[in-house]
Amino acid sequence: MKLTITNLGKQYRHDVWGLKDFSLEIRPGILGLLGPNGAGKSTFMRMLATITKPTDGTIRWNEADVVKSPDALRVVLGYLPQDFGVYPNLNAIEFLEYMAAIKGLNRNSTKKRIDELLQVVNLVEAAKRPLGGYSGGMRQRVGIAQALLNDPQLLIVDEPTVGLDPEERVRFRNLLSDLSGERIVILSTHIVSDVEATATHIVLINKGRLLCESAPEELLKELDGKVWEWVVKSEDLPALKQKHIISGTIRRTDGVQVRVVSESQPEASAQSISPNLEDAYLYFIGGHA
Amino acid sequence: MNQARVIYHLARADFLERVRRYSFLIMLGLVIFLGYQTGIGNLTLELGQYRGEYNSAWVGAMMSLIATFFLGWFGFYLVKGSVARDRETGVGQIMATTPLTRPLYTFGKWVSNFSRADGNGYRARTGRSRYPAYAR
Repeated sequence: MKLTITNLGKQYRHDVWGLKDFSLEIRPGILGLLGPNGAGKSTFMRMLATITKPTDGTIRWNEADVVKSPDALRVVLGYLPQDFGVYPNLNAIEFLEYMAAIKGLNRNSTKKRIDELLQVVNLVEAAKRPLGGYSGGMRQRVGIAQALLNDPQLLIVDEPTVGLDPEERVRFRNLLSDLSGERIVILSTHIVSDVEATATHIVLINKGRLLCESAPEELLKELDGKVWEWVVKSEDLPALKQKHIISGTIRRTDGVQVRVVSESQPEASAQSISPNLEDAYLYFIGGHA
Repeated sequence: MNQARVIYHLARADFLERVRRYSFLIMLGLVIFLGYQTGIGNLTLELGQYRGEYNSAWVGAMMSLIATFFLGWFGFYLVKGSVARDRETGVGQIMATTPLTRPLYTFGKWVSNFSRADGNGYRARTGRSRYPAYAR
């Protein structure tokens, strides 16, 4: 099972490319797609989900050309869009029955699958209430359930944790981890901690270009010896922000403890510390790679 | 893919979504009112100085004609926005990622529109509900 993307590009206007020269081979596991807002993540996801057609390049699901024959992928695809909406006057069961029929599930398997998924997303008690009365997090969980209805081999989730409270977010991360294995999960987000907790592979994207692609461990290895920590006076902080990439600050009684990503030791008192993915994200997105 | 099942669920979801709105209840009341007004003779259909004889055939035909006339006016507002709603809510995006074809989608929406407009027409003619349990 593999998804092969070759020289993918999407042009919106004459000189505006949402995505350009994007090549990637994706195998089973969780791929975390990280990038700032407007980086081209949703453009990429929408092309993978067969909603929009690329201007350039190819997408292949195993050997099938997805651009020419999208149904080859659609039958095994689960998609949760960034701006997921529902029919507000249907309840969760009715909405999921509707989605199941559209996805081609038969009547016998639908009821069982919906019961399973309502338990997975913890919506059993609210299942017969109209969706219009659901909170943002509950709606998002309905979205997750619909994406899983056909037990997809390729699951694409675009900014899935937006609107979820911390408990729901952890629950969703665990669910994603449980789902991975013999399927490809593509998780797009700008929340680094979501990717840190779940991804087996990371792709960084900015301004429509692929910046880097690697396992989280390899990404962190590149940052070895480039993350520093020391305490500065509060009044020195603005100047430091101009000079370095600051990935974290903690107020202390003796000043502000800063965490800085820098190629060389920025201060004599700075101590080298272990990098995390947020450091790596800022380093690569900041254009220091 | 079982096409009949897809059409049924497309039409059912669309139908349930719309008939559970308050605007539908208002329309329902209006249509029943028009049907009643026709039934008691406040609304009549005349051709110049001639009118039909008040027997069951003429009253039935007149109610149908008046209901159809008003449904032609208001019916548009009953059924419009079905596709736009899928686009606005984002449900359309999910549909675009399934093997659902455009003709099947369009036909499902048509069945939903037809069943809704037909339901209202029936109510106007008989003063009864064909779908007793959908309004919340």
